[in-house]
Amino acid sequence: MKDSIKGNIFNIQKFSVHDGPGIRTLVFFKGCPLSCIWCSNPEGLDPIKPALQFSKDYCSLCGRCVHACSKQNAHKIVENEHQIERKDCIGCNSCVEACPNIALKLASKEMSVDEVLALVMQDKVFYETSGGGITLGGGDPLMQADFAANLLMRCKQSENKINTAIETSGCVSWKEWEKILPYLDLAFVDIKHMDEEQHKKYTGVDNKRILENICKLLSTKTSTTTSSSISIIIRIPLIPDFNTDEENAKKCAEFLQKHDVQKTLKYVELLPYHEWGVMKYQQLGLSYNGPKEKIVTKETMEKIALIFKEHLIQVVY
Amino acid sequence: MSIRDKLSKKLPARLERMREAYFKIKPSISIHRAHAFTRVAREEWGTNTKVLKGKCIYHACETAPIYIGKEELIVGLSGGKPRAGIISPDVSWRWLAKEVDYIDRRKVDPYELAEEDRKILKEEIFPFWKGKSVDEICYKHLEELGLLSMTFESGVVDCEVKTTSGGGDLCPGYPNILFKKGFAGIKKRALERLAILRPEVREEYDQIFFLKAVVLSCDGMILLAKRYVDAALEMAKVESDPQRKKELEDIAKVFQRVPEHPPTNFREALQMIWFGQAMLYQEEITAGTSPGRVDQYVYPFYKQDIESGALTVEEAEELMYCFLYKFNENAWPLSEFASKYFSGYMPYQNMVVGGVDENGRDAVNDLTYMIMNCSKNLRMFQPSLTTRIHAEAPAEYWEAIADVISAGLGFPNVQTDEVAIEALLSLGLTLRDARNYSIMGCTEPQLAGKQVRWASATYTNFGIPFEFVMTNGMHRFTKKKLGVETGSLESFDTFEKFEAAVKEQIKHIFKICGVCTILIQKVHQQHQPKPLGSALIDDCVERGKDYMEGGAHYNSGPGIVCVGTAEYANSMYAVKKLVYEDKKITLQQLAKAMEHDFEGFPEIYKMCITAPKYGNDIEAVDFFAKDLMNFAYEEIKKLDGLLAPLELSTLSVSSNVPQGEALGALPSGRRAGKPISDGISPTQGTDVNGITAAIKSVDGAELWKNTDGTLYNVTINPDLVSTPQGKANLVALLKAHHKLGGAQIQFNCIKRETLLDAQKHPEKYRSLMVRVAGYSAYFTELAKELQDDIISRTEQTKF
Repeated sequence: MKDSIKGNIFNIQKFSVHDGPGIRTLVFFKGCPLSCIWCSNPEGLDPIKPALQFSKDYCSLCGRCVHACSKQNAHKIVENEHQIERKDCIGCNSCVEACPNIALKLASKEMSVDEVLALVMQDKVFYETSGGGITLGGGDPLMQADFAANLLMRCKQSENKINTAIETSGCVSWKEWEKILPYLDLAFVDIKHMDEEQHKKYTGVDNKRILENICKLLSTKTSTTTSSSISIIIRIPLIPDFNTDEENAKKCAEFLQKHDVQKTLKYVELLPYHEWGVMKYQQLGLSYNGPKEKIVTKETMEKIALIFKEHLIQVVY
Repeated sequence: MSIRDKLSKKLPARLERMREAYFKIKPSISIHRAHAFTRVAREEWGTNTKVLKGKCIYHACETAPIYIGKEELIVGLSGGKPRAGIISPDVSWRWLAKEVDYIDRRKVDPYELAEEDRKILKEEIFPFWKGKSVDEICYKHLEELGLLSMTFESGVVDCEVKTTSGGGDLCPGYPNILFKKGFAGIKKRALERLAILRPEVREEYDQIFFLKAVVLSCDGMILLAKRYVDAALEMAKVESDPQRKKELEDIAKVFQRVPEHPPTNFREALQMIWFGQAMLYQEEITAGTSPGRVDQYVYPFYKQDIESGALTVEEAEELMYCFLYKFNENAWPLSEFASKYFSGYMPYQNMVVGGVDENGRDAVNDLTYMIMNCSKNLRMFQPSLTTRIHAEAPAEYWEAIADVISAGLGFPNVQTDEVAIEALLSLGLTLRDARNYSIMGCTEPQLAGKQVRWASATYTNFGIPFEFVMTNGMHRFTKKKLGVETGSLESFDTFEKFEAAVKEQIKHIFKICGVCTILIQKVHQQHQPKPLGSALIDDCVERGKDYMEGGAHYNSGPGIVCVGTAEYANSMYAVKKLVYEDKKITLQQLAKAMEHDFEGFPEIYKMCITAPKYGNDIEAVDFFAKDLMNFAYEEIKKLDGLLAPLELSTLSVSSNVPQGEALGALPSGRRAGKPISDGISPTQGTDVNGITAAIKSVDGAELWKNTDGTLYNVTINPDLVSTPQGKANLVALLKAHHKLGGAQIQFNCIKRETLLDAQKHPEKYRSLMVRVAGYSAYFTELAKELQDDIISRTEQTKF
């Protein structure tokens, strides 16, 4: 039974307007093949283990969590400080329930396709008036490709028929990609760096598979259930001291120009670095090793955009 | 070429200067009307109340200060200078007597008051009206009935709005009466009726008093206009700038025609409406006087002048700007307490554009776009702009609405035709009349010139019944038994019994609202007739009856304004789930936690605050909002006002703040004394599933049953709607809201950080506007508590 497939989902965000056309619901899948140093959703990195988020500011040191966690002993209060042994946490949620101050939160949830679909389809009327739909993000939805494919297939069934999109690192085997392509209208794929070594240094993996998959995507003709071909948007997160140089942009533009034979590349989107996720690192008990330089200047953005324009590639930022 | 391409992109220089000067004006009190009324009433006390009122109005017009601003083209103010509010001691003077020495320094909405005027108030005006005002009479009546504790003392049923201010809430008959006949025509008809009425006939003699008062009122208005002619000509004589000299002569020329006679061109039409807006205050100080569908009834004059070449689009637009600007110069002074309910110096003048015509066809025209564009560029708080939407509205109109919303002014209020029309049909209007509705005040659908309805005489909230059930009728704040005894907590062994007890308390509160409403209406009817307002309402003159006596073609309401629908749904669901379904706590434990405002009960507080909330598209919770609307609609309908059944309103204005002050903690997790949820909106900061989920929750609550208006505030980050793509999404949101059967929606398109910074540096943000309730106001002119409430509506949850 396909319906029995469960997915690990760590957020479902309605009224998302930056992740494809119209008004959309963004479903966050847990697990990512990359571990980028600037990741803004670190709670979605691990494929299985739920991430326990702790907001120190709300903690009153009442000790109810310590009591609730007596089996695992993951919570301790030592000299007016709340300590969490992350390795001992099994994500049972009992501390979250016990905390009177809402200082603890467990992000992920195991959900069936029906459950996710029911939430997504609550906003059908908004998709109809806006041309919007569903976007799978994360983490990386392709880490749970069977579940993703199942969900997207249901979104394309006659009673729903909504626009579908995915945001992915692209770093999975082509086999996984093939599972979802028949049900997909739009794919956002990142190119973080054109240099293998640099890519590996900052994201934990090299870019070979990603670039190969992008080549395949750009030459994929049409999907089976949608009338038009899949649109591709390449996203480049611009990270200071990493990929804001002209040389990398030039290589990237040349690569895209060369491979976009089916003209399925809609545009390249430049996303300037932001620090919105930093707070979460604290809450997860992780250290943040993002770039030292925080600001991507307007000039840098314009400079990089110009390179793509020179290669006749539309660029938005 | 579309009209929208021809319209100005920015404010003309004249208006830019007027606007700049505006923000330096301090609101003030004008005593001229109070003084004029006192002089006449002192001389003629004992004259028939209606005739006396007519004479007072005439004398007020005879002596009113004349004001023609430096560069203005549309002219007239009741208080003699911009933002000068007149006062009605005949309605209420006690609040002013209390505040007279510090009204310029009070915390909420301060007003300047000249020293010599202060002296006249104390020595002449207050002593004369002692014991005669509407406010005192109402107070004494309520005292006799033992209802003071429920009303004036506790505010559970708040009656201040119509005891300390005039009746108002009028959409005057500019299109159907004034534009057709002018004041001369109304007077002529009144005289014709007087000629045949016989004093010896019982059914007729009372009409004689009324019609005489109408004649006096019309004479006063005509005289006042003539005084403007004289003043303009005097000023023209000594004016050295030839351009301004010509403008002043034109002003005089316009006043030679209107408002005595019907307008013949665009400029006269606008001036005539404005004269009404400014001068109806000579009758009594009120709020809500709304000009209605200006784009519809002024359009023929616009079309004629544009086609004949008498005006260019640019000239017409400048006149429109001058016209809209004037609405900002009216003021509605209130007591410091009442100002908490109606904060921000707001005179509640609502202008509505777009929508269907009497035949059900789309009525958007060039003037619709011109008014929207002018409002957007003017960036001032009045008039409140309402845009009517319906299924067949053109694409360009939707875009124009999104364009105004994204300008971040807090308006327009977006009103759904289908819902308003259904509401008005349920009140007995014909289909053609219902389709022609205007919006009065904030969001109240009302037919201009034919239908009279006070939006409200009483305010209450849906949180207090929970307190009464938990305490068996005791009001925690005043420690008095104000609710009914619904039994001990032990007796509520099922949820149904608990729910029934809450509803029992609501019924009791409604009944008291009903009694207070009738009582106040009667006092106005007997002591505060309204011949001038009645002259502008069909069929008052024909029937020889004041509108307070049922002279209007359609009599409706008043409404009972109920705030805190979200608080009700959240509380009901929390009790059902925590106490009866999951059995996590007992009702007694919950009552105890509420009694102590959750202090010392952190577990219970967390259970309450984290229980699912209305505004997140959760059917089990939203059910209670819908159920409440049905229940309240049915119950209120059973109660009679003086002239018609009462109506349900969830239009909170800013009453959610003071209503919350005297209310203890609730099962929803709302703490004691904190603001209660506004209008039909989700509780501040609890709609965490995005705007779409909140809209679905709200729109699912059968809002047409709020025949007297409802209110849904949405706060949206301006970044989301600043791009063309963002505006398209906004249109999509509005269209989905319309499809879902939503009644009304309005947007605060502003960042939380901006508001916080404005609190710290008010001097930098004098013109920053926010949506309060059914109106926009200048953020820095609002009471601190209300500022905080508005900020809290934008708050995100902890994660």
